[in-house]
Amino acid sequence: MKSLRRFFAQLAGLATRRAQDERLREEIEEHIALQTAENIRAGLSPA
Amino acid sequence: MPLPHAIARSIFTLPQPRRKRASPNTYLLLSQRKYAILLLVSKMATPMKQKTDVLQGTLALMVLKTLEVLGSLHGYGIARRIEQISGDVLAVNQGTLYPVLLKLEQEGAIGSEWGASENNRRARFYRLTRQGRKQLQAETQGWEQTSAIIARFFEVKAEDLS
Repeated sequence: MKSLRRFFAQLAGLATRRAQDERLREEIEEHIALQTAENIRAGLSPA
Repeated sequence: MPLPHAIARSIFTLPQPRRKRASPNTYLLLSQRKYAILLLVSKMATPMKQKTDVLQGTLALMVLKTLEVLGSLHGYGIARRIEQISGDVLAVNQGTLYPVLLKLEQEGAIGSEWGASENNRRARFYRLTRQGRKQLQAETQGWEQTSAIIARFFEVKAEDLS
C-alpha cells in the first residue's frame, strides 16, 4: 500500500515537472521572440 | 550568418562536467538549438555596454516591486523594466528570471495566467497577490534596515567611536 502511494506520488511529481518544463520552454521561447523583435525594431537585421 | 552559427555549434558541443546533470539552463541551450542561436545573436547584437548581473537574493524583491508599481506584466516585460529602473546597469537574463518567477508563484507571492503579448503570441502574465504585497512590505523593511546599517559603516570615523 505504501509503495503504491509512493508510485502515484512519483507519477504526479513527474507530470508536474513536465508541465513546468513545458511552460518554461514556452515562456523562454516568447521571451526570445520579444527580444528579437525589439532588436529588429532597434535597427538590427534579422539573422 | 556562418560565424554565430559556428559559435553556437561550439557551445552545443562543449563537454558537460563528468557525472553531473546539466542545469535546466544548460539543458535548454543544449536541446533548443534554434532558440540558442537566436539568443546568441541577440546577445551579440546588444550595445557593448557593461552590465552587472543582479545580486543574488535581490531579484525576487525587484520582481515584487516592479509588479506592485506596474501591475500585470509578462516575464520579458519584467526583465526589461528591472533593467530600465536600474538605469540599464543591471542585466536580467531569462535563465535567472524564470526560476525566480516560478518560486515566487509556488510561494503564493505572485499569480499568473496566460495572455497575449505584443507579438500576439501566448505569454504568461504575472501579478502581485495579497500575500506578495505583505512579503514585499516585510522585505522592504529588511532591506531598508540593512542599507541603513551599511551606510553607518561607510560613514564611521575613529573619533566617533572614542
